[in-house]
Amino acid sequence: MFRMKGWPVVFTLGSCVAMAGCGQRKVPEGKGKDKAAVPVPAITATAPSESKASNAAAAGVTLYSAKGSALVSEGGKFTVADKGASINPGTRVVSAGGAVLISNGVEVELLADLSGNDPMPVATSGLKVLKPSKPDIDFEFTIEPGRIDLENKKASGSAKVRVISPAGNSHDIELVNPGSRCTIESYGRFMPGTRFDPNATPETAARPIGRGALVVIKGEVNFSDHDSFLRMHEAPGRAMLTIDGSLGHEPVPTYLEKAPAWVFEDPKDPAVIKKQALINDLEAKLADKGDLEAVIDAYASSDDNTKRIVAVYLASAVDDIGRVFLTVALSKNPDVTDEAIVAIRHWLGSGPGRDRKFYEALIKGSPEMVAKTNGLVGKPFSEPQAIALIDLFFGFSDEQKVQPGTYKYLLKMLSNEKAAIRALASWYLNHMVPEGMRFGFNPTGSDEARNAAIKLWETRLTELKKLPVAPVAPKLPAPKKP
Amino acid sequence: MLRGIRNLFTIGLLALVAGSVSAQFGGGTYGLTGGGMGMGGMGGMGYGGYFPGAYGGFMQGMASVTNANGQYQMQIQQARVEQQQAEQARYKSRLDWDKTRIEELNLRSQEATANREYRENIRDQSRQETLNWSRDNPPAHYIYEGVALNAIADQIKKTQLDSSMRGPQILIDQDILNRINVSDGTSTSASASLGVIKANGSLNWPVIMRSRDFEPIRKELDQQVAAAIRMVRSDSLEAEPYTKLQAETDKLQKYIDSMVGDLRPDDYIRANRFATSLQKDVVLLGGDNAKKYFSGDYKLSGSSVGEVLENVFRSGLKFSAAGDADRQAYNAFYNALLQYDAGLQQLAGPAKPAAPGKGPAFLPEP
Repeated sequence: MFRMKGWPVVFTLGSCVAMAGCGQRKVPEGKGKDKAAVPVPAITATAPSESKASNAAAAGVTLYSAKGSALVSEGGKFTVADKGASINPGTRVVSAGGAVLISNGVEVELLADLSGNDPMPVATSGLKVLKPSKPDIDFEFTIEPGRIDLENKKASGSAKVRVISPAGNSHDIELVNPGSRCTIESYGRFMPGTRFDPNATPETAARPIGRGALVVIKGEVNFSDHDSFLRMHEAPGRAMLTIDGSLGHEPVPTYLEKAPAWVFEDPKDPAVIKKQALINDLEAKLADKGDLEAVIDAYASSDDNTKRIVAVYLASAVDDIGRVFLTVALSKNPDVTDEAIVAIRHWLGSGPGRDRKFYEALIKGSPEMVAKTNGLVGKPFSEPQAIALIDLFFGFSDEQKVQPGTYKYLLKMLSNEKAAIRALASWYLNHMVPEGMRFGFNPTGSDEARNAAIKLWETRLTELKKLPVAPVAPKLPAPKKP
Repeated sequence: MLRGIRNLFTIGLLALVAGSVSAQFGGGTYGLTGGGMGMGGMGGMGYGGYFPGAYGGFMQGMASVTNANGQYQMQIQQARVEQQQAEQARYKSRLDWDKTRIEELNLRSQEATANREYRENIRDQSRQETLNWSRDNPPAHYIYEGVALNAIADQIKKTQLDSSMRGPQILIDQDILNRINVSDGTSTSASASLGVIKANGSLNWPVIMRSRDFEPIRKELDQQVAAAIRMVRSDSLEAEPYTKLQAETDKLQKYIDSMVGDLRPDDYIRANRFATSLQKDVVLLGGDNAKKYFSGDYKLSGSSVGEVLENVFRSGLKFSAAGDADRQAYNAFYNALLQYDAGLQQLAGPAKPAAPGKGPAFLPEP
């Protein structure tokens, strides 16, 4: 019913995460008109020379890291990429911020929101490098959730980038002049109220909705897809376009007086400084150990809340969703649980077919996790439990949210035998009735503590008339005896 | 008799007073027993009395009595004056109090008017908001709960009364109308009309409850509901079968709750809604108007939207909530109603905007 028409991306979610981490650079005003005159400060220290870039273009795509490390996968597990490594078509690249790819004079930087100003939950960014489908295309990739900056680094002429949405729709972005720069963001979600069908085929299965945005930061950019062509210009001007898969796939251009605040980040912002330090630390650890899972585990068990949240998003970005799910089921920190739930919702929505994979993993279970967590999680879910869990991850529609039955269902799910279902039920109740957060329901808490919190929830929901009320029937007179 | 005693008492009193009065003049003693005529003491200027002896004393006493009587009369008079003054003061005070009271009542009346106007404004705004929501792509539950249908129908009624115009002819199928629930207008809530029990006595079971798990309780309820409806139609619903039916609906609710772990969220919500709706329907079966639900009194009729609305307005019916199986019909009827409303607006011209809301001039009544 719902098709991913455009790019995946964000705007709607009230649950936009103030995410935890990752590289970004500020582009000063007036920079980038011509390449020779305007170097890119953030990458000059490690940037390859132009000749190197040109050579790399001949070979394919070269990755080098400006601030953050890149994680790459050619189908198997993600590994930490070496700086300057050559990336083959078909490789997925994920970064917690700052990784840069260069091909044919187009620089592609994978960013994350450090300041928390971005309306989208951009914790990590990713793409899949593709072989250009036409000779005049300088760089082609399938976009994954996150934010990617594109810049024309050629000495002269335009640069053309083809961006493929997870649903397979292609969009051409032409960076008209050297120095032209734009940013694209993408995100996908299943529509709330969607029902997961375990028996559906890929053709009949419900698909996530994609949403995307493009903002011209510098110069001119032409956007085209199969039936649109839009000339865009840096602000003031027609600087932004959005695509909302739930409203159709037509790009909607918007005039901007100035670029939105989230496009540039202030390096003096304490939030940016803190998160940048964390990114540097992550990069150092990845460079040192080279073992992604060990780094994620170290971060996940850190005392620092931000690090734990980074671990959640990093694990989600590299498809280690089992590890994220473990966090949902076991974390004693409500903030981290919240982020883990959001991360899974976005992971499910970032491409078709992921819900099916998740379902299969749930009913199969994980003996490794069972052993690791002393039987707390990892046991297989029954089919109804797995279906209910995925439906819960998809969320409730507006209509369902006003049904007393929804609150009753969630209240009952607080006592479910599966900690993950309890956590999700609590998450929804807290979002729908925020005052309930003070009841302190902890899905991994003791039975007594949970029952006490459930009692409080029940009382409050009854007071708020959120639960169904059985009507009082009239008393009929008894039949007269003959 | 009393008067004699009073006079004697007065004389005695005056005699005592006289003694003390005489001393004030500094003369000799003129008591009835004094006897002597002398000039009295040298110290004073007084003559010691005009009538010497017992007679003089008698006369003196009589004068004193007269004098005291005068004083008494004066005191009485004074007391009356004072009483009058007090009466006047009290009267004035009463007038003042009444005035205050009147002012207070006026104030309260103004307060009440202001509050009423405020409430009316709020109500108008709320009504206008609901209407705007209803007309412009409302959330689905607005349509399925009858809110949007009632809001648009009310506006159509108002516009037709104001302009004496009718909207365009929008044909509507009776099959759709059969699925639109209406009630007597005393309430527009879901409890005001039968939701899951249809006029033919059958139950609209949601798909999830047509499974084998629900079969025994489903069959039992089908039978009991059908029997109850037969009794309602013949005005012979008795307490015992009715109580059994109530118990069975409670059993259904408990059964659904026991299955919560095996049902997906949407299925549980639907099943729960069905059970709650059935409980409400069963309550209606025991009510005074129960028979009307099956006699066709609460049924929409008409070949066009205009005709349907005329019938609705005439009989004072209100749209109420849809059962799960009626949603398509509700969407279709909503679209037809919207079309009629748009056509009517075009013919009658734009409606007057609602008065801007103003805050209460006074504190609301407790």
